[in-house]
Amino acid sequence: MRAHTLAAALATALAGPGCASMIEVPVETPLQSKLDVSSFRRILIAGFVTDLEQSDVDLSGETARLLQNQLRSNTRLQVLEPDRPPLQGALEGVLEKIGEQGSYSREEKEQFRLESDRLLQDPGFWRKMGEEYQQPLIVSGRLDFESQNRSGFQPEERVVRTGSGRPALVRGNRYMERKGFSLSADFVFVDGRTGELLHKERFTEEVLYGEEQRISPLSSYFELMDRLLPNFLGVITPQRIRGTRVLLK
Amino acid sequence: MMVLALLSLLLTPLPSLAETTAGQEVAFGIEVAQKGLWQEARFRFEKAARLDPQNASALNNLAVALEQMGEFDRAREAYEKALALKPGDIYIQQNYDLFHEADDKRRRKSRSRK
Repeated sequence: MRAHTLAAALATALAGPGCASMIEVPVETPLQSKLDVSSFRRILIAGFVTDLEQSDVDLSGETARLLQNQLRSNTRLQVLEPDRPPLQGALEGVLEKIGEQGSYSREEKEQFRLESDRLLQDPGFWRKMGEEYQQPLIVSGRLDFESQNRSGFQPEERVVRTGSGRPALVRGNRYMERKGFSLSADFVFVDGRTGELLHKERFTEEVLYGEEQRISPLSSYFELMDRLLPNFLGVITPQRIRGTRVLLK
Repeated sequence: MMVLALLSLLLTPLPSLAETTAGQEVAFGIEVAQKGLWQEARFRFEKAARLDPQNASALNNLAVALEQMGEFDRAREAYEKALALKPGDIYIQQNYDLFHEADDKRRRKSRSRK
């Protein structure tokens, strides 16, 4: 906040609601969506590519379900709900080519990453899926959810008593355990009529907890998705920035 | 005959109603803005600014209404005119700064849309 904005905010607060010369009013500034989706009637969350590592969270399934819920209440688009995310079948096909399920070598994981990237960029694949689901706007992409360890020495200031009993400020470092999770989502928005990529965007969020906090991966995942959702929705729905302005008499 | 005269008297606008001052338009604009009727508020603030082009309050309020309605270029213009008339006014400056923050967000979005 700039200095004069702070001064004005203070003046507004001091003036109070009874101030004769000014009135504070709530405003909602409209923000256009990034993508014009007016030509679509349906939207399909096709599923997501995730790492082959075992995860505590069913990333693709949870994300698809969460986005479907959000889209139902925030857009006028009909949200398609297939029994199984349609991307899943294609990814299983990729895995079959790679090898035995369960444990994968580094090369196999890299191969899966390349193959799945190729799939995400394949207009023919999306066009075919679009035909199957009556040409919706298709949402897919890649998700990564990882635990983070930021434990280490942090600068710290302490007040201690000297031999004479006087307080003194001591600067030092203290080891602090800080663990958490990061979520990165590369969303792709595809035109189900043509298979063409309409928009691609990466969102990244991270949350760290102190040593005394014990938070489950699933809770952290929802916390991170909660932060990420407005940005995701801003791609396809207009958003509003809420604030206040001052009207002058 | 008397009925006709009475009717014509009733239909003749009173000078005080027909010729409002900028201050009255601003006051009414604020009243409707507080009820969320921004279209009407905008009309009133525009009228006030036409009646008194040196009225910084009318221009500030017009800018707020334009911002609320998503007309960012015109809002900026109105804020800048208001600030030019009353340089250093902390309220107008605060509105202008907050407008800039919102406008920056909007521009970032529209850039990524291209």
